[in-house]
Amino acid sequence: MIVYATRRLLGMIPVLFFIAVVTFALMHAVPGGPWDREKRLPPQALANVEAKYGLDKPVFAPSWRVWEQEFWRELPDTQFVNYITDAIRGDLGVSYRQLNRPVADILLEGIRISATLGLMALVVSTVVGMAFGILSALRQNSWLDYACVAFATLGASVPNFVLGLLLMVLFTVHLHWLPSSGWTNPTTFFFLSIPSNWKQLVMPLIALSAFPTAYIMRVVRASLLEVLHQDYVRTARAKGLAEHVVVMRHMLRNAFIPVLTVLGPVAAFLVTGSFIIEYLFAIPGIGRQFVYSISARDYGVIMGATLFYAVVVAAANLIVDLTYVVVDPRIRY
Amino acid sequence: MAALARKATLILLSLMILAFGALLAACEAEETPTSEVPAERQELRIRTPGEPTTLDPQIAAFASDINIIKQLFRGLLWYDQNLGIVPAAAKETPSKENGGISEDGLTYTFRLRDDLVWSDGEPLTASDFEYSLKRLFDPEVGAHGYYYGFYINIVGSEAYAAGEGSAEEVAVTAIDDTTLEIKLTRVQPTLLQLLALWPAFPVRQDVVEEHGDAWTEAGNLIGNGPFVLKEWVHDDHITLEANANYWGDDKPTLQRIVFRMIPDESVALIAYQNNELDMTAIPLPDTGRFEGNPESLKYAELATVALGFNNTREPFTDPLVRKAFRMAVDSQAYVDSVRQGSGLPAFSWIPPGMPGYNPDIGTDYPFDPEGAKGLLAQAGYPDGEGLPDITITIGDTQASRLTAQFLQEQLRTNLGVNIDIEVLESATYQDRYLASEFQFTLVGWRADYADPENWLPQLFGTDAGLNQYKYSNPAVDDLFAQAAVELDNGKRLDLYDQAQEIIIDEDMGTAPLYYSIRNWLVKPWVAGIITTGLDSSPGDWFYTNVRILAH
Amino acid sequence: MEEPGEITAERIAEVAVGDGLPPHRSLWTDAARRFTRNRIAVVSLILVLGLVGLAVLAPVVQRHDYRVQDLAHTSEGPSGTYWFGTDQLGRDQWSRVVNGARISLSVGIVSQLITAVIGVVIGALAGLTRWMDNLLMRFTDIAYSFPDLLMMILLLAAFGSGLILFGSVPVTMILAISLVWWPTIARLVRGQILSLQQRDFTLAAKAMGASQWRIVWTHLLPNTFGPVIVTATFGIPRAIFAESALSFIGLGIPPPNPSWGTLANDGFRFISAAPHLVLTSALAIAVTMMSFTFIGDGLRDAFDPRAR
Repeated sequence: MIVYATRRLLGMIPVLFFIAVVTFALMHAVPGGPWDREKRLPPQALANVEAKYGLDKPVFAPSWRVWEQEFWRELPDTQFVNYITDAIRGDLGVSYRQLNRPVADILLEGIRISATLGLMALVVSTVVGMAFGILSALRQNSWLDYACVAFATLGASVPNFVLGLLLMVLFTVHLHWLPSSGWTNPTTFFFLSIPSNWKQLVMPLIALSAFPTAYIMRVVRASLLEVLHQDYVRTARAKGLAEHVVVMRHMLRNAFIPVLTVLGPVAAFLVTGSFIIEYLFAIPGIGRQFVYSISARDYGVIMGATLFYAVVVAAANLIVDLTYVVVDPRIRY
Repeated sequence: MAALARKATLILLSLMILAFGALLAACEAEETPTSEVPAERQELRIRTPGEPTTLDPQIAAFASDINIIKQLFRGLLWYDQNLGIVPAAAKETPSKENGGISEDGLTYTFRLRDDLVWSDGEPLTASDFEYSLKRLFDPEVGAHGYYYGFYINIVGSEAYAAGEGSAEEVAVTAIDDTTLEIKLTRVQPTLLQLLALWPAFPVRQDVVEEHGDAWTEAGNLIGNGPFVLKEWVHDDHITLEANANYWGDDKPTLQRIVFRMIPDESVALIAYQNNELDMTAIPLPDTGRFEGNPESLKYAELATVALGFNNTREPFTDPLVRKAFRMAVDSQAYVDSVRQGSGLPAFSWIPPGMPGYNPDIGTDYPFDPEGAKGLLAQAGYPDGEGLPDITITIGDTQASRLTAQFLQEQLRTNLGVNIDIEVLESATYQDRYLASEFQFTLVGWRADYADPENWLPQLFGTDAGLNQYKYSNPAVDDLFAQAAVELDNGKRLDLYDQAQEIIIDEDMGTAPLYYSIRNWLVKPWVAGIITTGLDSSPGDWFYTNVRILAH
Repeated sequence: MEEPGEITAERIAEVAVGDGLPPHRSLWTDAARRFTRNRIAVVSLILVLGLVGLAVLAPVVQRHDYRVQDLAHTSEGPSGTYWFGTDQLGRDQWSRVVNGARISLSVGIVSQLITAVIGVVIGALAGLTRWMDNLLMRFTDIAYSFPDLLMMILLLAAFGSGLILFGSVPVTMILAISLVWWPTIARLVRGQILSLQQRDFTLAAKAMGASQWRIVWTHLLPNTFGPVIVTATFGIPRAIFAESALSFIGLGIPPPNPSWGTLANDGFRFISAAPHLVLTSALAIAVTMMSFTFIGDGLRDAFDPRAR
């Protein structure tokens, strides 16, 4: 299994490289640049600033003649090559949107916050989703079942920007129970970032968990239902085992496998942050930074965030695959 | 079973409706009694839409950044509440009478106050101003900003910015600790106004050199304004504190100003209603709700939104077509119904409140569908026949979408012309707009300083830097050239007036739609807000006058 | 002479030759039967068909042209003339919702069709040979690891969201969504094919000399259609959601065309001032979403060979 994991990890490197190439190409192919804002920069100013940030160099490859002559002596001086060589050394460049702030700082701060919110949402959705799922599967086709399904699906059927604002109007404007937004004075707890006012977590958590909760609930319900009809469950019941023993020991473990499959992408989605939630609730997470950087053509942040996202997805899938081994003894790598 | 399912769904639906009903019912504004007694906590909480791009005065370009910068620094001159020029760091405003301006108008001499200090107690001298103004043209610094072009008449500045000269050749000289001399290549009547703006704010050389790009971080930034940068938590908030060493006569009563970064304006309104903010803008959808609210603050913004034609593309090469388009649009209805009263219909380009405003301009082209159709026919397109495809290209903001859809329908019903709407992602739009690759778009302008010079030459001069509509009229260029060097203010304004008349009444190079107004809410315990047309945020030239009442 | 019920040699032979299983039915009729027994799924299907009907009949069902702006009646609540009220520009909200159904449903359905086709083709090709599998799966992994949003934004920025065919099919929007989501189906199909390749009937076909291509095409692929259809059905509301999220960022359907996402986006800031705008569009999306979810559930149960 170690071999398998190492193989997968190494396999990520060419994938990341390829993603870097494609992102770089796309970024520069799309019209507009970091300095095209409301007013046009005078040509001299534009030339100055491009020179300062190395944006006047060729994107991928220098002209052919130079390529032929000097490639073996030193790496070509192009934007892409410079980016890769710098990145390997840990220098991800600076942001153009937050002028001259190191990209690594921006990413780190954003990732901490999104990861915190995302992990909390993951826990909440898994717990609540499983609870509802188990409940409705055990009482299949009862009004409780329909109510659970309807409620969960309803919460996930409203676009989350509507849900977010709705929550704010209810809890902030009318009830004055919760603050509107923000992530103030966070303390860093290991890798996580927790705001000093816990109330700021509540609404974003609800809004973020709505969809995954419904999704997980349905997956749990469906897989439990499948398991319910299996022979071994009937056998266990026939043996006279108490219901809760049947459920816990026999059904849940088997039902959990499909849930794991789903948890991977759900976790990846949550951890990488939701732009809408972070934008509405003024949470400085990576999801929001990412979208801002795309509009602002903030190349450094776009590259960093894309690579981060790819790593997270690959890691999530790897963890899920590895956890299969633990849960399902039939699977061996 | 199906009946039970139906029951469950009904219950849920009614719960949902009840929830909505609850939202509709409750009242929002609470009246908090306030006295005239100043509060214990003199703290003003304002919203800023996001992380500032930069707090460096020589580079800053966005209103939200400038809002903050104006509290941290003071330049040679400042504005008073009528937008007249008053001295700040300078002892007096230079003029021909007091010798501050030479006879030929090419040399300005500023005598500084003796008591100028930076916030850390270090003395502020004329050489600080020399350094800062030269920095404005530094190809590595200010010269990749937007505003240095305002000051390009300073001798040597253009060459330096182009990378051909050097800082030494820029004619900004500190004669001694309290005297600063600026030489121009030609007369510039508006120089004093420009020197009150943020690109001319002084910065500390040793701080900049020591910290490089990080000099604007809290703890590093040293300014000379009424407030200091106490705390900057990125993407969350910025806290300013009163400067204990402030030398100015307008010492602040406020102890603290907090700028909370809230990207969405509807959320900002919610924060205001929850008493997390002391002032906020009223988003357009909520305009009607707060009409007549005692906390509302409304005033003219010195900004105009207009229909932008590319004057070199069919059919907008013909002024008759452009005029027909203007006459087909009911801007009064737009302001009243769509904007719910927020704004004023516009016929002239320069808005009311600006020097150079002329209420008669553009009034020959009121909303008149019949007249519009007539003009269109006169142009050779009776009933719109023969017109090429017309597309209005806009960026992806809510406001642009709204206006574009309004225009599309107006032109369809009032003129019988069908246009398409092309929405571009914002950076793509900027790119296309700046290259003039559009046929029809929306344009807007907001005053940087209170002079028609800011509204006309760079926007309507042939090949001018901001003339993306490719408008060109040699008569207008001529008037601009004359006005640029005309020292008599009355004559100058008259020249610009003539120019505006040609641009709008004769040519309709652009068709003004409405003037925007600021529509804000201010908590009743915030006293002393003085608004001007040049505000980046209401009252921000005079936060030193603001005080919080006990509540 | 035979008596009814009498045990005769013929009858014994008859029973012995049969395999003791219920009479043979094809997968599809079987699934259809099971589906129709699921009441909620059937109700949802009827609802969806109703919505599709409304969408198709939009020009007839709308009471006013969705573009007409009645400037004297902006942001008004529901009334006799305007069943769902009016929006900020005085347009009939009922008409916009009904016309919005066209665009939203076509985004949902067409994008999933395309995703399914691409996914099935790639998944099937991957099941053909080992090296094809490796190559395609690397490619799929890369596409999978690419941030969805970035891809969609860049695609839309490069090509614009403007191209609309047949009056209501937003081509670039659909392509942006399908080109980003096909990896899930590809992996699903490939996984199914790989596991099915170990089954008896495949080995039997191989033993009988069938080519790999024929095995995949005739035997394996049809067995993947079940899960693909289920995933695609769940994908329809996801696509509608994605369209509304893209609208929020500003990359939605170009105005003045209504789509539910655009309506939700235009209206959500009016949540306190004119809640009917959000209510109507969110309700439309929610109903569609729930219906397709129940249909998807029903389909999955219907295709499950172990359920009785």
